[in-house]
Amino acid sequence: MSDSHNNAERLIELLAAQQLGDLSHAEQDELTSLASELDSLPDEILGDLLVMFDQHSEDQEQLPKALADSLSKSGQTAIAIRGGSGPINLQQATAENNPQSSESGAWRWISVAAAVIAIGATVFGVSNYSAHNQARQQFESKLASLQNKVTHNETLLANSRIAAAQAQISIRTLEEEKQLQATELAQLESTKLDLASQLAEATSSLDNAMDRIAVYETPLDPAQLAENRRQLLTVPDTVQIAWQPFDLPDAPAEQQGVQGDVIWSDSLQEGYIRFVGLEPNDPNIEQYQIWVIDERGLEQKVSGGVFNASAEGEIIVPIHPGIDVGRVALFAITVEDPGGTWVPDLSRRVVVAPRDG
Amino acid sequence: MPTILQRITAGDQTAAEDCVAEYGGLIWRLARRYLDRAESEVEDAVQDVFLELWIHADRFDPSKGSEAAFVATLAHRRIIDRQRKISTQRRNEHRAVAELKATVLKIPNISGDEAGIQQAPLYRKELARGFHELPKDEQTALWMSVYRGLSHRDISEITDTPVGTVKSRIRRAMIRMTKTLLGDSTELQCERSPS
Repeated sequence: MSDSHNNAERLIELLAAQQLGDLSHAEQDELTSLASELDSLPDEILGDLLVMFDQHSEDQEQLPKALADSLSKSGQTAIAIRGGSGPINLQQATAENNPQSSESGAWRWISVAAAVIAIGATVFGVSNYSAHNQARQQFESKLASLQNKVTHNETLLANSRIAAAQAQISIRTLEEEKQLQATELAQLESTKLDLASQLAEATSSLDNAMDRIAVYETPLDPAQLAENRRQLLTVPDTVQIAWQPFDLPDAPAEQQGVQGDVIWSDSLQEGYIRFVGLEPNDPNIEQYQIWVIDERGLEQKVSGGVFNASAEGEIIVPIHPGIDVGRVALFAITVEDPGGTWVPDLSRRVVVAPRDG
Repeated sequence: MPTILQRITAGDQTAAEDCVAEYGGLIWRLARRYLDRAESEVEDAVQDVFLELWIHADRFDPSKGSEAAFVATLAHRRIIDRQRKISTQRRNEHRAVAELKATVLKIPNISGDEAGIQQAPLYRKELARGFHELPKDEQTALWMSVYRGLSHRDISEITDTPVGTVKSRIRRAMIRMTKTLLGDSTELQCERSPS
């Protein structure tokens, strides 16, 4: 079998050389002898003959569209598997599971079988034409059946390999999706953490704010306040100024007859105000707000906090300016919305205590 | 410019569709002729051939002939394998000799002077001329063997000729055609007793 194949290859080689007028005498003889020994058409001539006959045939039916589509598809998959690296390695995919079905192994077996059968036929039947012929037919049918088996196995292997590759592609796709989802989940988690920390921060600022508000809103022990005030009076730079109605030339203050004073230490930035006769307020509607104005003038009004006048009699309230003030020139009390305001319009004035007035 | 099979070898997936478009018809027709239009067998055979093309595209060697000839040879071998497998079971169902006679004996006139054949690869023109110059009985035997994939026995039945004569006709046809390729100066031993 392989001899006749080699002969055919050699024949084609010589034919090509002859076409080019490039043949020695010895080669010409070889060509002649090869051609006369032909017992089957060389592949290359057979191929050209097949193509030529097909082109001249009346039958020019085309491949059905559906079959063509499915062939193209499986072809794409097969090419994707081989990936431009030589022949598809069927053994690699199946060697572990099915070591006996490797293509080259089977063909080697067929070659050996062919050789054995051929030698047997020659030894026992060389002079007997019919016995030889019978052996030959047996050999041919055995060869055919082996070839069919090989073909069948090849098809099965290639199909399994294609299926395996498709499954791998699906798995890869699923894994990518899974990874993507994991990434998204991680992002969501981190967003959640961010939000939680922001919430904690906000809660903590709120707590601070509540604490600060509580300072103003919690009624302090009047006796303690009076004691604190007395102590501040012993500080050398503490001044004591009496309240007077915060009248403007053509607009009198809201309340007249409020008594009391303010004491203040510039060095400690601390002070107390004291009232007698200040009208109680409803904290849900309005609150009193203390203003501390330093020497730079009325434009520099700093809030000293808000307070409520909830009881009759003497009220003492500590002053807590939001920021440091310089040498205080004037204290004033106004009525504002609950919580106070940043910028008083001085429309609801109560009392004023000018330091040097 | 790489050929389709070379593109397949290089891993170009778009080559699959081109390969089916270029050679699908050739392989389909070959399978239908060889398998006598047993539709499911034909489809299976075509799939086999393409599977082998995807796997063994790298075996194509452009220095040894045209790509179409390579594909045709590969298809021929595959389909003959399948034909042998089914022919014993189905010969009687599918191969009515009378029906075959009507289709098989129509041989187109091939002379080598047809338009398009001048651009054909290496041996095509000489092949056509060689075929044209064959005696009628040899032409018929070769045509039935190659075009229809019929066995010597089938040809013997259809042409009402002993199998030995069919064999020697095909052998002589092959040698004569090879002789045409070799050029007329070469003397070939055309007459040999059938073996």
